[in-house]
Amino acid sequence: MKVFYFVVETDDPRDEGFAFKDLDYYLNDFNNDMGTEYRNVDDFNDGEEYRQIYTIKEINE
Amino acid sequence: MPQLLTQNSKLRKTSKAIGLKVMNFGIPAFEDSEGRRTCPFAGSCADFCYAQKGAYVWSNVKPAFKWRYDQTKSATFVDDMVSEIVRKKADMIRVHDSGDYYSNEYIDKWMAIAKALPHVRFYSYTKSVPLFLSRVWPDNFDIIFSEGGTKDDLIDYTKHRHCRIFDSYEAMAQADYVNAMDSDVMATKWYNDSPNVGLVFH
Repeated sequence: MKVFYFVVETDDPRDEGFAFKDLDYYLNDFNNDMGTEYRNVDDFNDGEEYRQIYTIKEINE
Repeated sequence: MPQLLTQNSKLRKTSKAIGLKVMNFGIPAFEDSEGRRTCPFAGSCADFCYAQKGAYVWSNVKPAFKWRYDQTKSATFVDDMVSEIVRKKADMIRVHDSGDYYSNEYIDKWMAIAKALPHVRFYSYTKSVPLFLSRVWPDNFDIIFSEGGTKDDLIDYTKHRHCRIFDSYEAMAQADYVNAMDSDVMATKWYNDSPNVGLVFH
């Protein structure tokens, strides 16, 4: 089963979101940019009021 | 765990546009969940306050604002905020995307933070006009008096930077107010010489 991630700016109704596969890369990049220390999706979603990462699991039939 | 400083989507776009990291600090609008007033001079604005609706009152956001408000009461708030700003390498701080200066003691804390970080720019919209009239604030702090409070009569429109909310962009342009809708920093003295700052009701 493949896993994707989708991050959305939740306070911007016009935001179309951004999809990515490599969570560690995304979090490292975000942490470096914003001075945060998020290690996983729950950390990120707890700390970021205005954005949310959704985990999308692709089901193999 | 909530962050002391965050970056909403408007400031994220502003940051990209100007090449500086602009972050925001917010506390509950009008009053917190225990009824403590956080906007002591709120007037008619309380009826249509943007910070009492939308994303600001979502279940994951409201507790974060309350947590930050509690932090402002802490004896270590100044040191904690200075550390956070340095760690996050912020260039500009919008103090209060939600909430307002609720006491002189609280203002003193922000002035101390600004003095400790002279290379960082701070700015606020505020309706707490009486708390600022007898103060001199640091050069790296810009205050924009915001109409809609109970003490609008104390605003000197000839010299005070102030903000007015319009029904339309056309009305704002006709009144000769500078548009701060697209870029928040247009409200500040560093990006706009005019004391007339305009926003359109949303």
